[in-house]
Amino acid sequence: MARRLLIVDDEETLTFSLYQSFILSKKDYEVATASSGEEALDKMSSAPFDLIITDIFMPGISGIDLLKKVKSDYPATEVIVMTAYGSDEKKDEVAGLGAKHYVEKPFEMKAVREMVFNILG
Amino acid sequence: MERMDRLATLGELSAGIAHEIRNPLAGIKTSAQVLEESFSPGDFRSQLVSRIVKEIDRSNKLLQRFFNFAKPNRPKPGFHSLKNIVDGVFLLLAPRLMKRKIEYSCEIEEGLPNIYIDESQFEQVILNLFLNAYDAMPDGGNLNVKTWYDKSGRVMAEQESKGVVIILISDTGKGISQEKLERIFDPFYTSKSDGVGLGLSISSRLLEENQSKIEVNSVPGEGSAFKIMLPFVQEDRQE
Ligand SMILES: Nc1ncnc2c1ncn2[C@@H]1O[C@H](COP(=O)(O)OP(=O)(O)OP(=O)(O)O)[C@@H](O)[C@H]1O
Ligand SMILES: [Mg+2]
Repeated sequence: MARRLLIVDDEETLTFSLYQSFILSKKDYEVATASSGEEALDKMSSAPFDLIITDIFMPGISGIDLLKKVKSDYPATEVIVMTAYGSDEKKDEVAGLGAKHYVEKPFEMKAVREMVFNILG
Repeated sequence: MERMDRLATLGELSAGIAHEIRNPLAGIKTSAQVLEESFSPGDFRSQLVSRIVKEIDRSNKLLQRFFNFAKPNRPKPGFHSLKNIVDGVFLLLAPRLMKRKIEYSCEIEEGLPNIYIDESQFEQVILNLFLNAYDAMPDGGNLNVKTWYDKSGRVMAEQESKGVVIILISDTGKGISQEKLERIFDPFYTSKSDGVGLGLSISSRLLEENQSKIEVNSVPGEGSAFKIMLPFVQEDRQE
């Protein structure tokens, strides 16, 4: 079965370009996007994803809350957190909540893609 | 205290700037990098796209410096050898200093205790001061570091126990006029065509976060001396 990846951000340019980077990567992933935490949970409930890449600061459910919810309801799902406003404290908080990686925006696309390849294979 | 208040609002402001600027930068950068892969490396379009990425990184670096000033990470202090830190920064700049015939000397008082400080923040301060000294001596000169322990001094009146470690960084550069002296620690004050004016404001902010402070003395035409004062912390009373 194809591995499933969900990209969550209210910034459409970013979700679209990340989406493209995985579509072009020749990996057999099923890639979806969501523009809010609510939409992400909605999509999760119909069919869970193996990996979620999420922004922190979004209107409505934040990426932190999404991370908590995913880790409690879908423990097998890995999460990569991105943020435009990072700090050591944020990084520690996110790691403590079980996120696999933490990246600061703007990031190196290849670095994030590598993280995804390592998790999804 | 008024200054601290202003800095707090600056911290909030920078969260807004981060969100409103770094998010579009992230979108542009990722788009550009995806696009870049679709051209062969020799293609001029690929070169143009890689320039876009480079310029994004440049803007982001400036933002990063500004955030360091506006909202530095909470210091993670530890006991460190002052000599190791200063030597490390010097090694980084040694080729540049040599090329310009800048003589470097470093006198560290015998038996100087370890300093209690956030190592990477302190490195950043020393680096900023060295770079400024370098800029001030386009035709060469002397860069000197001198440190000693003053066991009866205090950085601030409210400092718990007595004792100050002093680090004096002096150069024989162009010096700073009286009127400029009042502004050099202001964010974005610069006299250099390629300067941003954040080096000293970040440095004094970082030192403040580490309960330390910085003072300056300068004689135009002769040189400048920046004096850092760190509160002495007894190593066995650690953490
Ligand atoms: N050692 C020095 N000798 C002479 N002038 C100095 C020295 N250090 C600082 N200054 C003056 O203070 C100004 C502010 O210094 P600061 O480090 O904050 O910014 P900058 O060096 O101009 O730019 P940046 O550090 O952001 O690249 C400098 O532009 C320069 O005029
Ligand atoms: Mg400077």
